[in-house]
Amino acid sequence: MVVKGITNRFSIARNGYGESFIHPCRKIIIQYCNWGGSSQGIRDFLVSERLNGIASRHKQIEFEVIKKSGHPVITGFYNNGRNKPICVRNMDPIEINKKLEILMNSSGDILRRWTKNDNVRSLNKSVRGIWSPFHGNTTPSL
Amino acid sequence: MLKLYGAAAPMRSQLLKLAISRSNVWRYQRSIKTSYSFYSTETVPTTPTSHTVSPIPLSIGEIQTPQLLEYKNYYQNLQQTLRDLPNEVCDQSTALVTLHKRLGLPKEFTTALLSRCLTCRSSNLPTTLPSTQNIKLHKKNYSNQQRDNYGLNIFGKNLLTFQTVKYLLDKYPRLPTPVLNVAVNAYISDEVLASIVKSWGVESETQSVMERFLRNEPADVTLGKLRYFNNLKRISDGVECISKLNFSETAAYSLVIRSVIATLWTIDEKLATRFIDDHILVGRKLDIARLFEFEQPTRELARLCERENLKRPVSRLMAESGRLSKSPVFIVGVFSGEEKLGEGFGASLKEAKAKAASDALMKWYCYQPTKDPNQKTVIDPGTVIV
Amino acid sequence: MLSNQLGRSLIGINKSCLSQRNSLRFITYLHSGDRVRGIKRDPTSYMINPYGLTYETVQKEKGLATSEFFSKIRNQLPLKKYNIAVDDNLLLQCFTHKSFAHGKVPYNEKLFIMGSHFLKVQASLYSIQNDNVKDKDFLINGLNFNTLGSNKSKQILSECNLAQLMESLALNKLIFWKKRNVNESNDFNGEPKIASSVLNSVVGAILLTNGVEKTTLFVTNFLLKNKKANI
Repeated sequence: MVVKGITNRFSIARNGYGESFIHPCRKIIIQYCNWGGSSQGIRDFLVSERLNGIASRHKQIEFEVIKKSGHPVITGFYNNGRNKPICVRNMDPIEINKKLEILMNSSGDILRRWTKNDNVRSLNKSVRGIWSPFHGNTTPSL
Repeated sequence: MLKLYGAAAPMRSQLLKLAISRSNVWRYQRSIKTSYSFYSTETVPTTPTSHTVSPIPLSIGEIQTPQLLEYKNYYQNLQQTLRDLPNEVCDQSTALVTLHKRLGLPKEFTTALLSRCLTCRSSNLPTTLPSTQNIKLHKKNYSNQQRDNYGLNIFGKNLLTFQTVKYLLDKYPRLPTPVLNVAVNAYISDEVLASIVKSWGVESETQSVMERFLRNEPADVTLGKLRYFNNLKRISDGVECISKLNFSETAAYSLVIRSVIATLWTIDEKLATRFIDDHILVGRKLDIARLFEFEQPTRELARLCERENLKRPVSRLMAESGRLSKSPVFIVGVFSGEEKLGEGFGASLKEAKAKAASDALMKWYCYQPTKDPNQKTVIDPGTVIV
Repeated sequence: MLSNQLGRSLIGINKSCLSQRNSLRFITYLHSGDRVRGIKRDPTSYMINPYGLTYETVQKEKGLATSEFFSKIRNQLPLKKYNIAVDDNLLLQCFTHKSFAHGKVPYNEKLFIMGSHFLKVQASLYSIQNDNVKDKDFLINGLNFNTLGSNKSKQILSECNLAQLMESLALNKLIFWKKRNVNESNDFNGEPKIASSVLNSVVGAILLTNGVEKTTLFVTNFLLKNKKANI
């Protein structure tokens, strides 16, 4: 037997390629202070029934409400092991809602500046192959 | 995360009344008792020299303090919950409910079953604690009559391996056995399965029972976590139980996905096969061609042509450039009679010839039959033996 | 100019020499009897199984109704009963081990892999479905998963049981394989393993050609309910 297999090569995840898609954001912790003025907005947010609606629309995300002194912070936890904290001090409920949307829709990856010519990112090889000077018509026509 | 959790403990259940009733929102206030709230993770003594075992639930008859009794109650309550996995308590667990939703599991797959998939046999809390002199987890502590994922894992593993082998051999019927083994490993090795489960957002329970008690954590929190270690003691205490029944985190994580597959199978066979396809096989990418390694490609090709009654393979130079320069390029094709089997390039004739032969072999071994149902099943005669 | 022409013609001569040499290599001496290093062996001297059955005779009988080899296999394995169609080529491949004839003829390795994984699933399924437990508390949809991993469930369709079944069907003498050490016994050379692998690859071959339903029927009725295979 001369053909061998190369070990330590693993399959690569393609989330959503099959019929399953795992939402990247798994958990959001909402931390507020019951006393501080900067938490006024988030207290209003929590007292209103907004979170109830959000939670029922995003059943795949776990929400946790924590009381802790200091500025209010909302933190998203993602499947790639990263988390994203956003400080929501002095924000009104509408702004907080927007920040929550950002956390829920994020992939959890770090923010990158993609270059201009980076329109296609793929695990697959180019279907057209790589041009070779040795193949095809060798005498160029003018 | 841990800090947030621990620091939140000093909170009293009062003040802000929240109008939240969703099952995926966990109100921290729910069952915080004020009597122990002054404990936080930071205040638990963590000196590595303190090898004292946590208070033993059944031997505390001599020292009776309200705290110890409280701990005993907590321990027994936790043990009871983990043994019975009642549906009402499991439905309370936000982690379980959201995980269920994230995976899109059917209704018949109850949260209690999901929690069972997260329970490893090694996490079973014993009724009697081992003494300090003889730290050994006895096998008798692990009866097979309990709700854990031991059997589910075995059945799931059998299903998963069969499905993977079938998928690969249907797609590439001529895959050589060593490459097939490597490919199966690339799809369903413990590492890969563990990374899939981690990408579902499953956390593992790393807190000891004592820590959980001190933070007054309700039992449903631990139900939503992967329990594989016998969390009687903190790992950081410097005391480590070495037992055959405890295993690595990676192995424990891989048990979860296999058990989920087995449980899905009990509900509907098709659900299980679709789940395997979506999460493990079709849903992930593996480049089979990168798993091959040829030792003597020209020799192997010659043997293959002999076996398949093809003409002897002959390598021919097809194009070249800069033979006498520092970086020459040769293109060599390997032919059997008139037919071209493969082509390779290289900086030397030898290299190009070897690459051409490996290319030809690759085309043979990685042959994919058409999806036309009229095509007869391709049965591989076997890998060439040199 | 002259030298250029000369060079070309020289190359031409070389090429013609090469092709002549190629054609000369087709005369080969085939040696039979004791092994001599570097000399090709006569196929008739090694295409023979440990019980004296030659591969050539079986190959000639392919497709014939009078064939002793194939009719014996078809009588012992109830293929007709479960409406399973397997052609002679495939059947012969199932009964050929990788060790035989240095892999020159089709062998059963891949069929064995397929069949053995299928049998593992079927065996574990059998043990979770057919376990009498008093405590119904731990069942999942009526299946007892706690029985898996026990010695009893490991015994179902184990290698040694399948080998015994093959022996009782008298099919082990029809397998084409080669002994690792000619002077040692069959058991030393791993005959039980080879015999069980043949049964596994028959299951694999049925699975590939006849589909899952027929294979499941064959496995449950012929193997799992058979007392010899499933002790």
